[in-house]
Amino acid sequence: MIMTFAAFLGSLELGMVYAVLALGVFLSFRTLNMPDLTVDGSIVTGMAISAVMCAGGVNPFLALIGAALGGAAAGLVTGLLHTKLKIQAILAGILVMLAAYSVNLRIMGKTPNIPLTKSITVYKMADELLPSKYAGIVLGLIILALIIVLLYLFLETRLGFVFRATGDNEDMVKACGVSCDNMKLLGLALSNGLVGLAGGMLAQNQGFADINSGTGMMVIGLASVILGEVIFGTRTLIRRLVAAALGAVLYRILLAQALYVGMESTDMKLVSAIIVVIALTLGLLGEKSSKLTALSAKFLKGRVQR
Amino acid sequence: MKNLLELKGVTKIFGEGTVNEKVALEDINLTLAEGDFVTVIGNNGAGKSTMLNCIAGVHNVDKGSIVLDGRDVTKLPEHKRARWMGRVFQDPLKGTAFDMTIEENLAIAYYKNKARGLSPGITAKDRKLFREKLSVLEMGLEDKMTQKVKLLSGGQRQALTLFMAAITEPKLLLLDEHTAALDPAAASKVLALTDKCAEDPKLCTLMITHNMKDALRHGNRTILMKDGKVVMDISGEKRRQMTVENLIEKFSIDTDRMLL
Repeated sequence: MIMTFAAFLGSLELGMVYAVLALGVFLSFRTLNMPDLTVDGSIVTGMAISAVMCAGGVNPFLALIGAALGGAAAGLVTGLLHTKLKIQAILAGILVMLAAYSVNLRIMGKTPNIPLTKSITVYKMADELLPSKYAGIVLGLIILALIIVLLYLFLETRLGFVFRATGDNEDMVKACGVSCDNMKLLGLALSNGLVGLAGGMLAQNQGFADINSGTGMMVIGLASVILGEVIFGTRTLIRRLVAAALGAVLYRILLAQALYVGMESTDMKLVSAIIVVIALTLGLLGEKSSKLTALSAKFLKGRVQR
Repeated sequence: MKNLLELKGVTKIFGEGTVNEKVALEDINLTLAEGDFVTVIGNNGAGKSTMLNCIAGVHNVDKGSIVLDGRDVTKLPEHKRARWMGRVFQDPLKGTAFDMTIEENLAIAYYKNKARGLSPGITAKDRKLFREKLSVLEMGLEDKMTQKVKLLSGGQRQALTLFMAAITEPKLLLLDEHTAALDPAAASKVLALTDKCAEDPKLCTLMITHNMKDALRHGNRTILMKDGKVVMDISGEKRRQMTVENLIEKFSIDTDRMLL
């Protein structure tokens, strides 16, 4: 069974939101080369702030900015634990993820779930301007495009250059007069800021914030990044950014399709993990096949010369 | 000639107070004049790399002070000292960001002493300048400027790193066995480039090497280190008369004693 057109549109809409998450994960995982588990916590921070602000009658766009700032703060804490207190990156992320659970509950006023059925959200605002079938997709696409452009422009600045080099080679960055610690702080704040924004969008999109919805978000982001890399390539910087975003959309479509072939919605975490394993394996095969192509090209060239 | 670099009583001990305690540098006093090109030789574990790393700020010294061009840099972190120093490492992978292009790497090095704000990472003017300067290397790198560094050979990478280290005309050039991982042809090319970089404009250079012929042929002064101390320091006439055989003699006494 193939999913209905409405379900396809639904996964596109959600895909735009998860694409923002994927770009955040791209920054920490690929650019800084750092496995950052803060994501599972900071995405809920974004949801919580966004929901509380919307429920309080604040402009929902402001709520999104608040969500991004909240996520960035969580990332900054992870960065400080890692750079100043020399705690391993992965452990620092886990610690902040754990602590964020309590902080998020406090933000939400100690209720595990905040409904937004009666509040204004950016998606409801879009519904009034456009046919509701496509409104969410268009809104998501605009936000996503804006983020990709801004991110690309930033990564092409002098600061962006050294930021990208930090994940490649810390010694070289230090030898070029830049503090790697500052780059990591910047990167983790930026990365989790995007994750927080994705959380804020998600809460407004689904119409509620839930304290337990962060589990596995880092894996989903990573799956999207890898899926994008395998299918759309990594040749240029802009291509890598777009690939991560497209990977997230594709991932949503795959998940939705899994529901249509008879998986239960409770199986989704399992399906997520399986998609990651398949994407990672494809990545491995991709490397091998490119080596094979290079080898065969060399071989052919040799034969022609002979 | 003005003194450019002064090491005064520099001591570095690893694992102090443990069973593995090792005195890597013991009361080193060394002065480099402006324009000096000093080659450093010595057995493994003699303290050559440790000395370079202490100057660069990778390690903090336990005792003594390091003065660069009249400024005490002993307490400055590595990235702050980098402003006056260019460095090339032994490992060709260590000097460049492998997943970025040649021109991007050059731009990062080129803007070392300028603000790293939100202005464009590289401009058309920069590209033109890099292209001109790279063509002097005669390695064909000027035609590969948008290629990722990971596709370059070890020799090309070391040449690029050296070029990046010298592009901002630092006060001091630190070379830690930068030709040791290269094949002989690439090594001699990189050494020739080293001479060029150290000569024009005249940069004060400290070069560690295991090749004694190179140590005598390049630069104007040679020091020999052993057990964390400088045991020989020759220049001028004395150095001109020094042969590799003489050095080996001096070396082999040391190695024999080390074997016992």
